[in-house]
Amino acid sequence: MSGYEGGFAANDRLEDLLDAYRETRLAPSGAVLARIRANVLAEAASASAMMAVANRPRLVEAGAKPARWSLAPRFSRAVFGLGFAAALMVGTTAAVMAAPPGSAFYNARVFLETLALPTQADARLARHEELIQERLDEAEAAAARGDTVALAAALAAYQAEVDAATADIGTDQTRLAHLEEELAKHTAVLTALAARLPEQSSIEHAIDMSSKAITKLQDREHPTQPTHPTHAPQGGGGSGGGNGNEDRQGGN
Amino acid sequence: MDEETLDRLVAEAQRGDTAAFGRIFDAYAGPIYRFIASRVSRPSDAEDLTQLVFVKALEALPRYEARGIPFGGWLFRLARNAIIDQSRTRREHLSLVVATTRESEEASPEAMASLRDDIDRVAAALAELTDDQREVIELRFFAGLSVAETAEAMGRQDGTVRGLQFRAIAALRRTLGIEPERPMVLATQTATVEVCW
Repeated sequence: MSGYEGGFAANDRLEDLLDAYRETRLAPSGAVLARIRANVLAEAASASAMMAVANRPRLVEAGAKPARWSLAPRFSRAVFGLGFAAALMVGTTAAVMAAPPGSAFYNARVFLETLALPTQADARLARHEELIQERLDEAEAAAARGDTVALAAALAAYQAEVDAATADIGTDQTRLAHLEEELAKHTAVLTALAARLPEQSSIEHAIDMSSKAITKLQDREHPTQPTHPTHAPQGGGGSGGGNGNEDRQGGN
Repeated sequence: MDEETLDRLVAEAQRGDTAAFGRIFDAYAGPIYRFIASRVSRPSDAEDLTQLVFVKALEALPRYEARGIPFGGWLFRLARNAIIDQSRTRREHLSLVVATTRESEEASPEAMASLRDDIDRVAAALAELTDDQREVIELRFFAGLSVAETAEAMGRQDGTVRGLQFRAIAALRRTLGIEPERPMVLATQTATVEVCW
């Protein structure tokens, strides 16, 4: 073997050893990467939602700035400016309102829908519930397509909408009970979704978040009762609360 | 992924496009994980840190400017800083010894024993390199970065990275007992391999 060939052989051998080391000791499994991906993209969807909210006032300011042309008559400039701004607004709004989950404008769409909520309490709750249902439908559609990015975006928007509804609802018992009932239905839908796609942690987050929202609503419905009533059997005595729970779990 | 596509995806991700960020993740998650796994002792740490790096990248992305800075180098610099921060927090010596070795189910016991022996020898040889030499090997060969990206990640010049790589390869060959017959040819061969890898 010549020195030249020996050098090639040495490099090949070293390359083989480094490759073997990399593949056996350092390479991640598919499950690990999928887990990291789901978590990172859920963060990305949330960040994107915040970015859409933060950027909106800046866009309005930019559109409202006066033009700096000096040669054109002021009237023409104003008409042109207004026309251009109107066309831009109509076009942008149409694009934003049609944006599917996971797309660049989706979070802007969610934000605009939140801005357009009615002020009257019953109408506002009804619209909140419509939007929550819409987000859930989008999540289901994304899951059916196998689009994990859209799924994460829709579920992030779902969680934000549930938060907003919980914050807006006040203490009216009928409204509290109605929203609680709706969220319980959604939790069941999400649980079925999680069973189909167990690797999607964003679904687990949404279930967890809906369950917490239900607990909050229950707390407001029954402010004097404990968060998790024990349903002690009648006549069970003062210390029967804990036993009641155990009995119930045993029965299941 | 070619540079033009990457630039486009980065620009889209900077505007909040989650799908674009997902594609960047798909391109870099494996290399970032391998780089981190080569520098931490537990696979669970590698998983946590990989996730942390991408979350940090998400936060820092609006401030990233492509002018002359390779995106891969920028991302690996975040990874490098995350590893350093973690080692400071835990006051843990960075170890190249990873707890588990993935084994092929098809391989015979003899082949597995031989593979394990090779892997242990490589680990020992890597441990004998200087920190800078080892980092170049990790970035160039385990993460698959270019010389420019490696230089950006390490905050060094391209020439310095080439020099470190040359000396690291020579040291690895020497330690592993795979020296070529005529040392004069080594420089030419290393340069050839550097282009290929």
